[in-house]
Amino acid sequence: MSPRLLALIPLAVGINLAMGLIVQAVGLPIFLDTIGTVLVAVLAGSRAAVVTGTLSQTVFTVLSGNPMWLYFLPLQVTVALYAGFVASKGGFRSLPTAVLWGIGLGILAATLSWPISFHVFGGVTSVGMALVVTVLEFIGAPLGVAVYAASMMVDITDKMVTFIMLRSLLVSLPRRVVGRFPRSAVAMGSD
Amino acid sequence: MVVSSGCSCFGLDAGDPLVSLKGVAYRYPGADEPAIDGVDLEFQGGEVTLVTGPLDAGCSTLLIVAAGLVPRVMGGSLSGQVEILGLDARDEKLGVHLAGRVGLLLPTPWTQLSGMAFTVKDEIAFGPSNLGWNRKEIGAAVDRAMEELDITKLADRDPTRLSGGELQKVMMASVVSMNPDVLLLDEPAIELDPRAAGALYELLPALANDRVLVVASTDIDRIHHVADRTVVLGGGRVLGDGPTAEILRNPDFHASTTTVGRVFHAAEVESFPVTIDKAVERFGGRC
Amino acid sequence: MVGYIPGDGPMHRTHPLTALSIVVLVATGAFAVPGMWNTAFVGVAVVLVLVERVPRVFKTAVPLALPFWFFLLLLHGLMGDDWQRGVILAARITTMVFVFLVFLASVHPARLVEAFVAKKAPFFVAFLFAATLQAVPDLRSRAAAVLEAQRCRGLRAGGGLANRVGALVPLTVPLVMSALAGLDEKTVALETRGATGGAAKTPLNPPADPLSSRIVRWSSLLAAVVLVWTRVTLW
Repeated sequence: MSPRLLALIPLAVGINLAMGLIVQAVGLPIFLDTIGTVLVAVLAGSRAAVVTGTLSQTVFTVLSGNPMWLYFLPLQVTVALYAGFVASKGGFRSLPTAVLWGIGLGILAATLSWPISFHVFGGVTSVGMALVVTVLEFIGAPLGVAVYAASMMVDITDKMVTFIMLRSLLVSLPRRVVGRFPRSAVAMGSD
Repeated sequence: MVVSSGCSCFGLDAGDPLVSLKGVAYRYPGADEPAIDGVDLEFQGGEVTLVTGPLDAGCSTLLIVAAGLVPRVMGGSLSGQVEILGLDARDEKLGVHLAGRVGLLLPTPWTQLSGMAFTVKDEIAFGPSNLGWNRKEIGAAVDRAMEELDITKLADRDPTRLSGGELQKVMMASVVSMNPDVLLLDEPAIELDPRAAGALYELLPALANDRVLVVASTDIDRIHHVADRTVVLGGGRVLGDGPTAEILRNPDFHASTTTVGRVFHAAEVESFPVTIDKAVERFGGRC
Repeated sequence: MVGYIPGDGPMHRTHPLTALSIVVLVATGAFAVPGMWNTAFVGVAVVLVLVERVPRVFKTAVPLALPFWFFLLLLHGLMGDDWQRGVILAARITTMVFVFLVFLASVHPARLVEAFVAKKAPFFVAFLFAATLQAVPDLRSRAAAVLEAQRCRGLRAGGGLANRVGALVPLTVPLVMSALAGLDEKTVALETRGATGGAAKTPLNPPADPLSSRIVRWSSLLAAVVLVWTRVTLW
């Protein structure tokens, strides 16, 4: 692994884990805990992003002290692979394309996290999720459907906003950074 | 690992320069202008070379080029010929061949922390352990480097909780502990107070023993007396290169001389002293 | 808080990977043993905490586990009329949380990294794990600083969804930019400090790994595999 990636990946994981503070301050019920992973996918490709995602989930698990988070590892890996693909297709060339790709990832992520939330956690992954699930079940939705609906709401918003943030980042990326990571120009749609 | 100095170099004969740059220009990725251009320099072992010049003169870039980091690590475009210990800078295997043989100290020591050490001792051991030395050799190298920089008392501290000055000395020890053949120091005392900076410069001649030692600094007042040779850069080009005493007295480089030198230059005195001691000696008793 | 607690219990003294294997065994047990029998593993986990003499673990573990009991019993028991499922799920999660926290309390990250290096793990694995643990608090304090600065400039984070998302931009962009700012220097430092030279890194303080520790480790892992295998084939 190149020294540049060795230097970049810990920072990207740090970004993933620091975003919690920021979304909390803004008061949004989302996580944005894959921004660093998507950033690495855009700057350096899927492989490095998979390492970033895996490491993020591991370190987050260690720091939170809650081992259950490790179950969401497949989700981080999916985000890494998907974002690498989107970047290689120039998916960040405009805000609407970024939003669309983000929604796509949200649907994929919800579909993937649903079985984890349902089977491992019985629908109780976080207090916010649990409340949504409880309300939906109370009004008559079967538990499985309630968990899926809650995952959808949260994941689509989360991944869409993540991709919007990435687009904003790429627009303001200094030329010297683009010069060091030529892939980022591809993600922005230039050949 | 070789504890004593003396360089086992690739295809170099005795007397050949350890580092040589011929007609070198380098442009950073994403930059319009080259940071250094038309640079011809050779560096021998055993002498302290001072590289100086105004901001953006290309001093830091020169060190990065001399360390063999371009274009391999930094990207960008390099033209001309760069040879380090007899190896071409474009050699793809350069990283493996040069590991531990070129030490570079950056002026931002906090960016140089390994992130893998929980004590100062382990921070200094990071380089040698990466080179695969055995623990006995590592222990000896770490102890010697800490002694040389007078930081033995910091050995068990957390490297992320040091003052800027302490950290800069720790990072210098981290570079020296690898016993490199080429030692490149970029503003090695920028985080130190003036007295500590002076003390650090005093160590340089001993460190230059047999190895190339290039130090980029604008702290000419304190560092000039340890530098055998001075290179003045401006706008990425070499403006002057020669014995330090000559360069400091050369009116062309008045901006790159000592405070005393600048005062006398402004007074339009011909052949002037450049240190306070020399000035006192020469004008002693006259005023 | 979660994290290492100095001590001299058996998990503190043994090889970090042996400690990890014990944790894996107990956690696997909570998942593999059928029916309510798995609640026994909550007991095992509690015994681990007591043997290790790290009672502070309860302070973190209990508040982490309690909400799961509450919601799981509410969802599955009260509303779904399947109390047993609620208890089984909650017992699994509680066991995981307890043993994991005992592990974190017993094994200092530096020792774990040394164990990786001593076992000839690839350099990047050991490096990234250690460097990330140090980067996270750094990035968190940067995020806090960015928040502070933008609030001083009158950033208001409220209102509708679009407004809140808009407020994220001036917080996220500076955070990422400041993280990327020192990247060149870090890259250069790693390169010139031999991190990518390809030599096998020497462990500086390799943890002792006597025969007894290796026996415990491999039998724990074997037992965990047997548990999973029995679970898959028999039930």
